[in-house]
Amino acid sequence: MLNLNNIFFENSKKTRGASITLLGLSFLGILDALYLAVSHYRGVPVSCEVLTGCSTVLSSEYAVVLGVPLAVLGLVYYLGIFLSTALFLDTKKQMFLAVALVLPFFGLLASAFFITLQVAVIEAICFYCLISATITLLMACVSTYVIITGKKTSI
Amino acid sequence: MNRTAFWAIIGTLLVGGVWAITWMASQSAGEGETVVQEETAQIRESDQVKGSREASLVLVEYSDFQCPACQFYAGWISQLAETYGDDLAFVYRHFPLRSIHAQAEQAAIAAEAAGRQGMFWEYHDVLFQRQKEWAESGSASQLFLSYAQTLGLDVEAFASDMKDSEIQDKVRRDLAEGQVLGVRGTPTFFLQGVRIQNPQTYAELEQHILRELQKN
Repeated sequence: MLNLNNIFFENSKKTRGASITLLGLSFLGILDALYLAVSHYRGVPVSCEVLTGCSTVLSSEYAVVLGVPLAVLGLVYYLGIFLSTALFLDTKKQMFLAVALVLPFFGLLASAFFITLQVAVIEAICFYCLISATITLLMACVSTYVIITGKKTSI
Repeated sequence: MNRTAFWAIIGTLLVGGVWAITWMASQSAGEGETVVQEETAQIRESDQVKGSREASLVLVEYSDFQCPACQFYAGWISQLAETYGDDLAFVYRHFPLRSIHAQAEQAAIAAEAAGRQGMFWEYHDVLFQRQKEWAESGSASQLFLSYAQTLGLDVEAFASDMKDSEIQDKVRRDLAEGQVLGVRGTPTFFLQGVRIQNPQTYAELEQHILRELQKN
């Protein structure tokens, strides 16, 4: 079981650095998801200059789950991490840190699933989805680092 | 750093980010109207096409069977297809405005179900001709079946196809793609992948076609 007392109190400097990194990465994620969500609701095509599969992916039946665009779910996910991290930095309440550390692993699973879907089923890659997957991967690395170093200190 | 300054930075980041992204999205909306949208320049296998699939010109319409303006343009399109025959492929894609047209999606599904029996365009014409009747009816689904019967379709197969998820998905896919392409209302036309303003006269519509034919 993750002992947050040890993570925060034994490694306060490292945890603070990691939290600020999470804050920055989740902010980039918010911008990425927000761009896709705004484009979806305004009904405008996304600017897709690096890879050409954006329209194919974003207009596919998989881009909307139960009436909610995936971009909006992504936005909620990144906002969740961003606000939890900000609340942790402000209040030092470990509950917020726990949320911010755990969410990227769910995001990583979702990203792996969606990238596989794009490659194997839709047969097109959306550049903005790749950016999101990269951000989530980096956040999961930061979370893993915090958890591992926290555990080592607690032994 | 005190708490006020910290939350001021967080708030500024979020508000600034929302503003910047909304501005970026509006910039790309402007570009979208002049660039060629490949999705509307090519005919897909699943598309409903009037005219030759090999035609040099492709005119795509995102349309809603319950929309009065689409009904109006259907007459011009029919005339256009007759005049330009093999030079023009007219593609009908679904864009049912579900929030204001309660029966539009079912009508689109019914037309696709008729298409399974090779009668999409006949059913398309009936839907537009009798738009007022089914749009204002409390039992549109019964009317859809009766139109199928009038056209001599296998009504049992038609009713079963209306429940087919493949057909329902096709209609929703057209709608989602239209949204991504910047379609906001119906009808919206793309000629050779470029969005054109809705023509006010038949002559204006024909001018678009003639101009493109000259280029070829």
